[in-house]
Amino acid sequence: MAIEVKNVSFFYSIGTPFEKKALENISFSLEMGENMGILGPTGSGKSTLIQLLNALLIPTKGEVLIDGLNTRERKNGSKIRELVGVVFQYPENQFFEDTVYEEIAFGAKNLRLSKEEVDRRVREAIAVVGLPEAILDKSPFELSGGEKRKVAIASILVRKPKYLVFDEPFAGMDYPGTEALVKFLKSLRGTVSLIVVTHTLDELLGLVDKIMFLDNGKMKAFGPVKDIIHFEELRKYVPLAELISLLEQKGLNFQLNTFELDHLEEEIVRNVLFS
Amino acid sequence: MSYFPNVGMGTFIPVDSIVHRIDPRVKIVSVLLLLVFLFVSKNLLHLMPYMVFTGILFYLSKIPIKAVLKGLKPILFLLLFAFLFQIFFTPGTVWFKIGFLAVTKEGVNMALLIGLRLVLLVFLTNLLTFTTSPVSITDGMEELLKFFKFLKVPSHEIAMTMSISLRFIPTLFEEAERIMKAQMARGAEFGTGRFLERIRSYIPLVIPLFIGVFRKAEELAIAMESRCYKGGEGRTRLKKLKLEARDYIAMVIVILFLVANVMWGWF
Repeated sequence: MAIEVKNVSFFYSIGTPFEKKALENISFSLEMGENMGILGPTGSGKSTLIQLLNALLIPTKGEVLIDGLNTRERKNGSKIRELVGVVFQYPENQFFEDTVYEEIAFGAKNLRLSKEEVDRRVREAIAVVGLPEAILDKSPFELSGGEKRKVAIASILVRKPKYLVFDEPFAGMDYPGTEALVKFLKSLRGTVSLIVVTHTLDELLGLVDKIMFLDNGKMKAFGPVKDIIHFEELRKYVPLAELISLLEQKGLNFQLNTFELDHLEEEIVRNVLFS
Repeated sequence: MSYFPNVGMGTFIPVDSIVHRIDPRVKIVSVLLLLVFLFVSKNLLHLMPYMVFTGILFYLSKIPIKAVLKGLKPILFLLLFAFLFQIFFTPGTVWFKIGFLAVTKEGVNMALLIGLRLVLLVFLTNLLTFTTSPVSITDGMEELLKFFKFLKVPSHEIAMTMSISLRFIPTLFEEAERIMKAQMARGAEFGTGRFLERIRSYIPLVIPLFIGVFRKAEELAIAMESRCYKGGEGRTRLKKLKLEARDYIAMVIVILFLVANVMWGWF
């Protein structure tokens, strides 16, 4: 059971004067239970890639298989969207129901579940995102920014996806909000496979097992965190990177296997103390 | 998979061509004149020169033929309806009968005339929008509307409203596509089921879209006010429109074409 992306290329507006290459020859696989971060500058193709994962876009070339289901086959569309839940950027902009309950239930109802099952899932989802049940009767439009984002995430969790994709989940959030969301995402590890798209690395610290670095539609690096940490372009996104490079030039030896700030600090202390 | 067309009616196609370089005022006036004379023509034969003339203009504009034909897509239904209506319901000499419906010679003539007029109407207006950026169109409109200053026509305000509307059409489509995808990710299906279900299926798209539009309008108003926008009074231009030799030549060609066509009708 896995996500398999094989030699995928994608062009927008193909055959028109506005034709634009978004992705070129991307291949990777992600086993169930693994968590992955997709990193890259704005316009590098990150959002396009995740839309290919739940059949919202079909590759121009190549294939995307979700647990063996090919996104190219139309009949697989709804099953694939059940397996892969995508939380888009600013997901609160998709709200349209009168109450938070109805908003969350929308995704479950589309699975044609019984009323009791929908109710059970809504209450479970609101608990998972850490909001009180009392919020269910409120209008989704009167919530705070952080609450709205949590409701939007609950409206995807209610569909019980195996793979959960977040497109820039921290966009427009303040620092405490981002911290809380990272903590929440970490709590989801093990229950679903997370794919988190971002253009800064800080939030991915300790959250993902693999990282893909995209630039201008091309996959520049992909692999376990410890293997690609020394990838030069990725270093731009690592906190304290300049300090680490400087200390390495001075002859210090870092054994980095994660981007977590705590670990980096430990490594610096270890080097300074024992060098 | 694209949920909304990228090239269709009214999309500017940035190609370097002689038609693109002509002053927007000349293009607007020319298209208006051609459309007026097109609809005055009552003879099918007289529409042929318009076809040839429009064809030459498209050739010179370097617009891909695919985009030209795609522009017809939105009016196909109207075209078919008008065509069939004229064929079957115009009284005159009966040519042949299909059941109780009689096809008359006048009907076929009228159907072709109206069909061709509609096609040319779309082609000519598309020629204007394909070859002129929305900003140039509104600049041109603003300048042309200044002729009606004595009637106290608020030319700048009209042009600014038009420009903002045009500017936001692609944004609106992008927003609609984004919301549609987000709702599809939650299992929504659009346009399926029976008639009422189909209409209801669009609620998850329409409500967030409207909320977004009002939010954007508010943001835009604040952004404009914060940059001291206060209407057209005392406003200067960075790029002033200036007629060049090619613009005069283009205008003369269009007028000569129209005069020749009118004279052909007289004799």
